[in-house]
Amino acid sequence: MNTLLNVENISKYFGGVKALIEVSMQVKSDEILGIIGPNGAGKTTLFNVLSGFDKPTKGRILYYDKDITGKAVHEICRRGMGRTFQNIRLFGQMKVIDNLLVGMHTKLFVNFIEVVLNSKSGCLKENNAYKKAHEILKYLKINDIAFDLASNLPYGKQRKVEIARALSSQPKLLLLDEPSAGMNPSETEELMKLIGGIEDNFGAVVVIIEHNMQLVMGISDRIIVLNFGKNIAEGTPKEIQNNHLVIEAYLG
Amino acid sequence: MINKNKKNNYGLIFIVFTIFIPFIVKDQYQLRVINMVLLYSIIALSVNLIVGFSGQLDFGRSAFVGLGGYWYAIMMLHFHLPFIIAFISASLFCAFVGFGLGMVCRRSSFDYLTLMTVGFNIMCMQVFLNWIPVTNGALGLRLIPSATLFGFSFDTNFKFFYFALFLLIICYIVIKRITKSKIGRAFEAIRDDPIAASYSGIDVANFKVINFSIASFFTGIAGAAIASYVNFISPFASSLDESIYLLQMAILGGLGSLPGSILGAVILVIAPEISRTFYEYRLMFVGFLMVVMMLWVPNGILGKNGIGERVIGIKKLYSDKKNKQKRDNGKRTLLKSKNVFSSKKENNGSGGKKK
Repeated sequence: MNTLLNVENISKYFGGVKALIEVSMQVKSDEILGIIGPNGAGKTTLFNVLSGFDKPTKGRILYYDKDITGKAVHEICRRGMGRTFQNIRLFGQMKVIDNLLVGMHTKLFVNFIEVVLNSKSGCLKENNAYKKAHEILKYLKINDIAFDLASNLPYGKQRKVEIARALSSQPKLLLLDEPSAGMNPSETEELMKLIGGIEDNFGAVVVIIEHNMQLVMGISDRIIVLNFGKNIAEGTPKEIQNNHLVIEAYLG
Repeated sequence: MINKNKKNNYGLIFIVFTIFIPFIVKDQYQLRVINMVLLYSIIALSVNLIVGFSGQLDFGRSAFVGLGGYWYAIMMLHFHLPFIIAFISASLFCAFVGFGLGMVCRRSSFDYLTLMTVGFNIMCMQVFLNWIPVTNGALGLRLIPSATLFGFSFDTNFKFFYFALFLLIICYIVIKRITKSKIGRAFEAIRDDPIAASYSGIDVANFKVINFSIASFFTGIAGAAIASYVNFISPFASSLDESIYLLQMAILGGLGSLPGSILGAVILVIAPEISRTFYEYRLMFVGFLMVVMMLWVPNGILGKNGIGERVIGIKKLYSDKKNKQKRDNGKRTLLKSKNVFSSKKENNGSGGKKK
């Protein structure tokens, strides 16, 4: 098992607030990594730092053994990192299928001349992208809403569209920020199966932040627990469930 | 899905109709207004590209009309260049200036970008007003040569109509293709959510620059064409009022809708020409129109949830109602039979069986 992402002693301070303190972690290929922790533990900040949205105060991030610390968001995305958001960020005035095609932006090599001349090669590439987008929608079982406006969808489907958009950029690493928030139990169960199959179907390693313990314990191979910006425990779901530090963090 | 073989019938019908306009409209004044509509449509399309698709509020569009017009006029009057070179260089010059403006405000967010474009517009107008050796100050440049292609001069209203129509069709097709492509989708993504757009691998700052360059190119084309048609350009064509006026064309027609921009230009160019006294009040009229529109159709006539969509929506609702009634009738029969089943004890199930 080789290491996909290597985070070395990352710290992030917002003025006096220490959101992350010396967090180190590794993401290996062939696994689903869960990140849990109480509210305000710094989970989303960790994602922001990993994806380049926030620059870390200290430390460095290696992605495929290359330093990506402080790189812009779109550059890191181009290297193959996808992400969903805790509060949904869809392109509301666009159709679902167009949302996915925007996600394919970096994989769709159509140049300006092809666009202006509406050339055959450009159309072919577009059509291929359409087909791929439909495949992703089919996998997530939302192909019936492909031509609906994203803002008109119910909450649970918007979440799925967001995952679909992140998948459409063909990432090698997919960061999911609370994908099951606002879903009912049956939807959550379905989502769990879908997330479990992402690795096999799309070849993306999933890192998941989740408050739903049933979900995260069920699908993760390894779990990292954050509390007050510190990495307090790491291990398999069973080890985490019996870790006294974790129990203390959750129950006070 | 983009299909190369798909034919756009509405567009063809529209073009066929417009081709015969100069034969039907004999009045020179009316034909002149129609020509101005065609040219302003191009500007409205370019405004729509920035405001409607990319979601940046640009108050500097009339500056580019002036830049294109002045560049064309100076190239023709001072340097005596051939028409085609002066014309194309004018639009390229505008694209270049648009690129520069885009570079300056690529990192600024929505409101600050708007203020920057206001500043740019005022700056351009002051240059046109005060750089007297080149621009002839407030008097403007007169006797600008008309468009000529291969020895054929588009000097009458009749001839110029076809030149303007040709330009509009070309610009429309190119803009349409851009908006349907990866580039257009990136613009829309930036409008809807810049952060999510950057997480999709779009370089937001660069796409803003590209957007400004493309739109300025088309504004410049229209500016040069107007200068060649009217044979005159004054600095007051690039005032802030004019910018607002151009902006209103795009907003009235419908943001994000290309036919809407043309409709906006039709309304706002023809309306003030109906009477000259009305011309004095055009900004008041347009202002009033804006207030009324923002209340009922905030996205413009042909925009999202605009009048066009509402008419279709009413039709759909009507057909849906019919379908629903059919479905309801079906449901009712089901319910009846269920009721019969539930009251089995009394009826001994005979009602259900009859059904």
